[in-house]
Amino acid sequence: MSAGLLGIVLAAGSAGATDVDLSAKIEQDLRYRLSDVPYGPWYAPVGIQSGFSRGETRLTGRVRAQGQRVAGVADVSLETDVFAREISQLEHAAQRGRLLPVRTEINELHFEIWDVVPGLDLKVGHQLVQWGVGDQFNPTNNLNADDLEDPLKFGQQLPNTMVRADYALGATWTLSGVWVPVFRPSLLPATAGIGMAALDRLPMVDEDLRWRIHAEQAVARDWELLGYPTIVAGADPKLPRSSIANSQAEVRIGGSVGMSDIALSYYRGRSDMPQAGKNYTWMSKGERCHPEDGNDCIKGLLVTEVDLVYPQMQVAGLNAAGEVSPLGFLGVERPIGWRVEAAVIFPERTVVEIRNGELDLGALTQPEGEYDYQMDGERPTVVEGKPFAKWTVGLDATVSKHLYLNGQWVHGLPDEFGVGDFISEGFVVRAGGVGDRIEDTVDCAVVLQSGKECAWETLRYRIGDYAVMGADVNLGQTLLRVFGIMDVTGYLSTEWSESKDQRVQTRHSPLSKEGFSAVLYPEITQNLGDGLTISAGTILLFGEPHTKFGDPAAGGNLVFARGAYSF
Amino acid sequence: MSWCGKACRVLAIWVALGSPAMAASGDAWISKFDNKANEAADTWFRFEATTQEPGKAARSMSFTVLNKGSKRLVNFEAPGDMKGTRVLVLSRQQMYVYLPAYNKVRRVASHVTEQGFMGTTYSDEDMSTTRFGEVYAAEILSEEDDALTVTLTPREGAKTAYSKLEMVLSRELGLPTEIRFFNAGGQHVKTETRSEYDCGAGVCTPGAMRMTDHRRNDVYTTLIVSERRVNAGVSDATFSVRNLERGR
Repeated sequence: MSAGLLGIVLAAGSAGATDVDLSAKIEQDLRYRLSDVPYGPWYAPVGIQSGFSRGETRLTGRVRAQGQRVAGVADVSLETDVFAREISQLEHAAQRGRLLPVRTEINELHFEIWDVVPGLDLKVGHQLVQWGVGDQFNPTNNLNADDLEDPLKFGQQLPNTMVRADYALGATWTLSGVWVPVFRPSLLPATAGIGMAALDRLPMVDEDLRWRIHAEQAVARDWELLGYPTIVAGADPKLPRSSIANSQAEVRIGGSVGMSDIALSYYRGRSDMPQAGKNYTWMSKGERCHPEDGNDCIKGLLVTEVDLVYPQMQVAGLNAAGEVSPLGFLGVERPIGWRVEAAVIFPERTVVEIRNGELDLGALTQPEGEYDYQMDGERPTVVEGKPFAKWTVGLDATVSKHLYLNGQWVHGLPDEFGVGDFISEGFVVRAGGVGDRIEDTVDCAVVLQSGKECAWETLRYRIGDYAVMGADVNLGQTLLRVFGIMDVTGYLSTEWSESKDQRVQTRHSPLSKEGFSAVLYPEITQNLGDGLTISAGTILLFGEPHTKFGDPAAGGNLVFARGAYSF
Repeated sequence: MSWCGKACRVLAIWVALGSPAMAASGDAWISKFDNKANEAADTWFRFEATTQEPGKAARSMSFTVLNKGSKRLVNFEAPGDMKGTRVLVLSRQQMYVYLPAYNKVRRVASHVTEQGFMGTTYSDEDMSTTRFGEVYAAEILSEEDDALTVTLTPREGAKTAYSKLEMVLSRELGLPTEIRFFNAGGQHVKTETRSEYDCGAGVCTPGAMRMTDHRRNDVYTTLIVSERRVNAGVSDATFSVRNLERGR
């Protein structure tokens, strides 16, 4: 298929274009997970094991044809993985496609026309529109969905079919508009399922409701009269209907003021990160015991299926970049590059509907229907309809011929959404549960129908703050890059205090054991010349499981080796 | 974050490669040289660059450079890992790089030019000095029948890494055939030769240049002009961020 596409574009390009350019790249990528990442209870384990985690070979072909006023680009990849698809039957082992899986990706496929009228360019087709001056952290860049499948390619985005128009307003300013007919969600990492299994990370804003659910889940699971733990069996993303009303659009005006660049933008569309929209829980009876502990038994499962939705949002964006010489007044010319990218996001309020089939737990029965939220008929909010901000502020400098430094303050990663930061309060649950005494929990859940006196939670602002530092040590054909992210948000524990007869909070600084979370990503690359490079490195994740990067869903520590030949 | 590795390594080539500087009796000779080197309204070159370190395999790359005044557009064609990378220089403080791997134009600060380029023996300053008379005062050191040698010393306040240059100028062309570079300690550190001048269309530019770095075991980089165009009537709009993305 891809070869055919390449051929078509090449033929078209050759027919009328004055310039046809072909290029290709062969890449090899091998990863190894250093240790097991266990997660989930014995009756629903979702952890991942150590060992080789990726072994891809990829061929990417690119054809670019260009005439006087037109151009076309086709960029297609063929990819094969050393890991066969799942084989569950003997006949699967006889299927070449399962043992030797090959994937095709169309990275770009578009054409463009220049000076349709003087100064107006149009670009139509499968493309990427990469706006934003931040390095890899671009809150104003919302037209393409994030491609989060590969942590080593952080910042990569998924192409989408779009119509883009750019109109020159004088020599240095451009007015741009992009229309994206069909919404495309983010591509999530393979370990995203681990995050889904984290039942304690309840998404509701209302804390009373969360505490009650923590208590009810614990009772259903741990009370010997019941014995029905809850698991998440699956998540079903519900894409918006493909209609004009659900298409995305952005306008942007950008140019230079003096020696600095500035751009303003407005986007209307959807968040590409899913939020819980509906939970449905049903009962699966069947006694079973822990395979290594005959006393640890359950009577069945409460199986939850989740529908995910993508909230609408509007984004007002500001981008600015330039350079300064901070010691210029001393006559020392050591310029430093600066960049600011800021977005104010106006999200649609999003609620979650929680329903269940009849849950006959023996000692307790929950009739079929919608959960009683005790919120005067309102469904619980998971994303408030209040504006919030994300930004990236960065500096970079060349210290010497061999050392380049880049630092950024990132306020909000791509998966963070909703109001809640050091400006406006709002939290996400990173961990939660109840105390050890089941009698107290039963009192909370069954008698009081309130988890206030039972539940504990570890919270964090919805929008986190991160110190991002990178250094390139350039030794000619050898490049050593060290890149690190530290979560400087801090965490918050809340629980009931018997002595104070109220809930109390404990703050955990980013430097504490409970609050520390970081990524370290060193990589060494050797340029062997003639387009051939090889590299090796590791991703090391630090932090407790409730933290951003210590989270099992982050996938654990990896080592990798890569090679690429471009021609 | 990984944008800079390649960008920073390539950025230098840009700034200056545009107008290979050339030119000539003390200050008057240099002024004459500067004027000749900058007389075209616009120039376009395709360069084949080869760096040879003793005992190692040669490293090659290919790129084109379009110049108009102080503006410059560089397009890398080889090796494959550089191909498609484009650099736009509007001024020393306003530079952009388009990196195909990221499909994105990035504003880059001028400090990246301090990193040199791609392991060649040319420094940013070597490439970007298009008017020597603005930086150096010149005195005639020696004269011969077909050439003369001038000594260039930095003017007061001028920013340069060199304490002295010795430039051999062809009397016939009024352009340099050899430049010797001396560091702050007075040590002869580099030698550049310029040859095979092409004076078509009334504009003389060297067809071959070689910079030898004597501090690094005489490693050298040659720049061969495989194609050139002068005064093609290039539009100012060519030197725009918008154009950097066209057809990409």
